[in-house]
Order: sequence, then structure tokens, then C-alpha cells
Amino acid sequence: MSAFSVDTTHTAGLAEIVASLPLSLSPVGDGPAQLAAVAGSPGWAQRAMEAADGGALAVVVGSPQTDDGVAALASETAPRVVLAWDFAANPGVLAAADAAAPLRESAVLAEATLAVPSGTDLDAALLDVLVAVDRVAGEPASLRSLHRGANSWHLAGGTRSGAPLALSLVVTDAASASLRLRILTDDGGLTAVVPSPDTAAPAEIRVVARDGERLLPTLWETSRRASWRRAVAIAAGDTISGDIAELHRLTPLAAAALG
Amino acid sequence: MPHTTHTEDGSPLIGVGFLGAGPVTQAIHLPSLARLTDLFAVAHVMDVDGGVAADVAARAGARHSTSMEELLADPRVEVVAICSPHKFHATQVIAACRAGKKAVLCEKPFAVSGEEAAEIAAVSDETGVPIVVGAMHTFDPGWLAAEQLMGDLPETAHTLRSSVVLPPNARFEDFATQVFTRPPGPTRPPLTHPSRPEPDLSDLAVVATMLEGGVLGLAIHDLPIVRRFVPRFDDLEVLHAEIVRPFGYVFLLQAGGRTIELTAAMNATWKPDWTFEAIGPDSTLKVTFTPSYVQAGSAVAEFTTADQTTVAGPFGCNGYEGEWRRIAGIVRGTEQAPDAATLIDDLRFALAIADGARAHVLEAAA
Ligand SMILES: NC(=O)c1ccc[n+]([C@@H]2O[C@H](COP(=O)([O-])OP(=O)(O)OC[C@H]3O[C@@H](n4cnc5c(N)ncnc54)[C@H](O)[C@@H]3O)[C@@H](O)[C@H]2O)c1
Repeated sequence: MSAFSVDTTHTAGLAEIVASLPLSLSPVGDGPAQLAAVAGSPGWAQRAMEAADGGALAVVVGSPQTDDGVAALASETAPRVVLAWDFAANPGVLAAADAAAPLRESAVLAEATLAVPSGTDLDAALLDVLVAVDRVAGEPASLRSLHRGANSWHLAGGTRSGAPLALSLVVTDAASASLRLRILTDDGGLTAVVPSPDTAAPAEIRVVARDGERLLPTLWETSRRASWRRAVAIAAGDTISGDIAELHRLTPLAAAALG
Repeated sequence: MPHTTHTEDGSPLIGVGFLGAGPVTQAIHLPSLARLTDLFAVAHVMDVDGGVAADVAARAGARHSTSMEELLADPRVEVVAICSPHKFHATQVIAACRAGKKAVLCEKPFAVSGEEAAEIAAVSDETGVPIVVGAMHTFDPGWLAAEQLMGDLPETAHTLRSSVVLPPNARFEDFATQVFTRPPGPTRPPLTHPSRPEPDLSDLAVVATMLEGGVLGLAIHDLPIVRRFVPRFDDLEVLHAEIVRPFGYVFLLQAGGRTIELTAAMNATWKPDWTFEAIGPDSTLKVTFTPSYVQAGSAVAEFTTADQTTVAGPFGCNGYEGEWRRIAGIVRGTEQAPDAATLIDDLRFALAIADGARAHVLEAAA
């Protein structure tokens, strides 16, 4: 397999990703990059479309913010777009999703607790949390904002199985960002502690059942590297992305919460 | 333990009398006092069930009776421990104060209404009898260490979070002791009874009552700790209140400019997870408590700022031993009694949450 080219000069941190995937990615020489990096600031959907129209085989959108253009992303482009969520794209979240699947029906409580540094865009953070919840606890049946202040945002809703769902986004500069997901059942559950996207420290996923507690194998990879690996697989024709469809599906819930 | 009446240095052991000798007396207090035989002797055990009183008294080598008056009239009882069901607490606290005892330990909750709280306040003022409420986490050496670590966090914290996941009480009662007259059958589900049908959650009055039970039975353990970070609660608002099945709750509250998350789930899990967190702009505190009943050492406190985490604990003893040591200090005159007004405000805080939850649930339906 030859490496796909990327332009590392315009996206902070991309050189490190390329250095960590040297057989899959290479810094672009002359000519357009085969894989496009698009910043997640508003307007990203339009930029992703332009990149795809310009010939990119896959597009990675870094830390997406809310963007009205999602619905308009052409159906040919969407399967080639990877949303590099800070938390939801952590490989541990994907592992947690598999482990949580059999627990969803019997959940009695689902929670997501995010701690982020000051200056974080909480609207974007909510999307990230919502995608993570969707992946692990399943698509929420409802969601509404309870209280939003300068330092925190609290939301409540329900899971498809009728359990309460509680989301809490809290701002603090003590310690680094992290997301904790928890699903409790009547006799156990799952907890995922997902670290800051800045580090390759593994998410800690623990599953409690009647016969004990299991720590899932730790995956020492940042969410960004995992997202770029997916982009490589898409470019190679091995898979397609459901990220845009997922975001589109969650948009009404997010919109209700955003008010 | 009961056969000696004096410590090695010749000072008399402090005589303890129990009103109510159910699982809490058996699994929590007798084992705690058995760690403190240099301070206390159990003098008298009273329970309305004479069989329970006799059995539990025999374990401790104490007298037994089925009458509160008899226990309060027993001069060997210097400290009264109230471990009966909630609804008797206020009356028994007041009677013990009026009997002129040296101290009263009342299991949580202190009382179940604002009127009762006011009555206790008046009697406590009038008699000056020191009262300790069995909110054991407030006496836990891990929490006491946290108080020393946490700097200005009580003033700066914007979010407080109390989260409790617990197996049925019986799991830990059975580790802590052998309970006399355990109801037969599988372990009791918490706060429900095997003979009782599943609660009807479509009935909002049932939901409100369950939420109240959650506040006064479970959340109340850590509400005094939460209140350390809440400057006032006369503006308390319940933004959300919901049941977790089979027993538990999710609350979101606002008070004194703070946001308070209270979450609990009590079910068939084996794994307890009991934490309190306070989150401020530049520091956070997390206290992880050991489960109730067992003598499993203290909580662990972690205080985190941008560049470091300071950990305190675990220490060798828990808040149950802590509360009894405090009582010994009070009786001996070496330690201050807790401020009665603070205890009453702690209770009022809990009652305000329970009342707010009821109103919230009923309004949401209207
Ligand atoms: N601090 C803790 O960790 C903790 C844990 C669980 C319960 N509690 C509290 O302790 C108290 C007792 O709990 P429990 O689980 O032992 O309760 P329980 O209801 O199982 O037992 C209470 C005992 O009191 C007796 N009793 C009933 N009416 C009485 C009366 N008027 N006077 C004297 N005795 C009477 C009953 O016969 C029974 O033996 C409750 O208020 C509860 O909230 C504290």
C-alpha cells in the first residue's frame, strides 16, 4: 500500500499524526492532497464538500462545531467524511460501544459527565458528548436543557429503554479534560473514562457483571490518530463513514437542547 | 466489653443506651463500639420487639427493655443512640434531651418535618444536651482531611456532585455482623418490602414519596457535605427530579449560585461506588467513600489543581468510629459538640429538596 498524501502545513498537529502513521500517510509534495484536513469551525460542511469536489478521497473534519450545512452535504460526499470528535472518536468509545450493546435494554440510568477547560465551545462539546452517548448508550429518546450557566450546562432526557439520561458539561481548569460515560443496569453496568484528546492515554472501560469487573484492553491512541486511520481505510476503499448520517440523525435532539 | 465499667486509667466507661436495635445497631454501632472498648460500654438496649432487644442486649452484656422510658430512666445510660425508624427520631431525641443525658446520637435523618426540626432546636437550646447526627461521612477522617486540603474551594466551587451506587443494605450488613431476625428469603430490596407490590410509577404521588425517601434515606448522608459549598439555600430550586429503578434518583438543583447533581442507584449490583465531587474554576475535590456498615477504613480525598493532585487517606477507621470518638470527646469535655443550628439547617436543606422535588413532580404533570 502506498501512503496517501496530506497537507500538514495548515493544520496544527497533523505532522504528528503523519509521523505516527508513516506507512499510511505522507506529507504532500506537489499537487493536491489525497486526504483533506478541514477545520471544524462553522462552515466545515461546505469546506468538506469543496475538498471532496476537489478530488480528496476522504475528508477529516477536526473537532466539528455546530454547522447548518450538514443536511446539505451531498450523499456521495458524506460517506467519505470522518468527523474527528475529541471524545466520541476515541477508540475506547468504540470499544465501549460494543461492550455496552447488550446492556442498553436493561439500563436503569445513563450518564455522561464532561469536564473541559475554560474557553471551550460548549455547543460543540455537547455535539461530541451526544455522539459519544449515541454510540455507547444508544440514541437518546429525548433531551432537554435544564440549566446553562457560564461554568456548566446540564441536560436531561431518556434512553430508548426508558431509563433517565443525565448529561453534565462542566468547566474547570483543574486537571485535563475528560469524559465519563456510565450505564447502570440492575446488577452492573459499564463505565468509560475517556481522556483528553491531547493524549494517547487510554480510555478506561470497565464492565461490571454478576461475576466480577472487567477492564477492557487499553488502546493507547488519540482520537485524532484513530480518525485518520479511518480516513485511510475510506480512501483505500475498505470502508465508508457513517459519521455525517449519525450527526444528521442527532441534529434534532441537539437543536432541541440548544434551544 | 460490658463487664468492665472503668478504663485502665480509672475513668469510668461511658454508658450507651440504644433506642431501636435493628440492623443499624447490630451491624454498625455494636461493631464500632467493640473497637472502642476503652471508651464505651453498652448499658441498655431497647426495641419495641422484645426478642430483638433481648438478643442484641445479650450480645453486648447489657440490660434490655421494650420501653423508652425505662431506658431513659436507667442512670447507667449516659449517651442515647437513636436507631429506630425515621418517624420516631424527633420524639426520641427530644425525650433523651429532656432526660438530661450527656449526649444524643441520632441516626439520620434527624427528623422528617420542619416542625420537628424547630421543636428539636428549641429543646436543644433549652436543655443544652449535645446532639450528634449519624451523618457518618461528616466524621470520616478522609473527609476531615479533605476539609484541610480544599483551600478556597467552598467559596469558588460552582458544581457539586454526589453519586451513590449501592448494593442492597443486607450485603454489607452481613459482612459487618450476623443480623438477628433478618426477614427470611432473598436479600431485601432497599426501601421496599418483599410483600409489597412494585411501586406504581405512573402515580405521581408515589414518585414524589419515593423521591422523598431517596433524599431522607440516602442523599442525606452527604447533604451536610454538599452544604459546606452552598452559601445559602433559601433560593433552592429543583430543576429536575426523577426516579431510578428499582430505587434511586437523579436530581438537579440550584442553590446559592451553585449547581448540585445528586444521583443514586441502589440495586442488585455487588459493586459500591460512593463519591462526592466539588468542581471549581481552578480546583476540584473528589472524595470516595467506603460503603455503609463495614469497618472498611476511611474515604480517600483527592484535591486537584492545574498541576497537582494531593491525596489524603485512606485512614484506618471510618466515620462511624469517628462519630463515637467525637461523642466521647464531647462527654469528656475535650471536644465541642456540633452546632445544633448547623444540624437543623442540614435537615432543612434536605427537607427543602424533598419538598421541591414533590412540587416539581406534581407541577410537571399539571
Ligand atoms: N448511618 C448509616 O449508615 C445508616 C444506614 C442505614 C440506616 N440508617 C438509619 O438508621 C435507622 C435504623 O435503620 P435500620 O435499618 O436498623 O431500621 P429497621 O427499621 O430495620 O430497624 C429498626 C428497629 O427499630 C425498632 N423499632 C421500631 N419502632 C421503634 C420505636 N418506636 N422505638 C424503638 N425501636 C423501634 C424495630 O423493631 C427495629 O428492630 C434509620 O433511621 C435509618 O435511616 C443509617
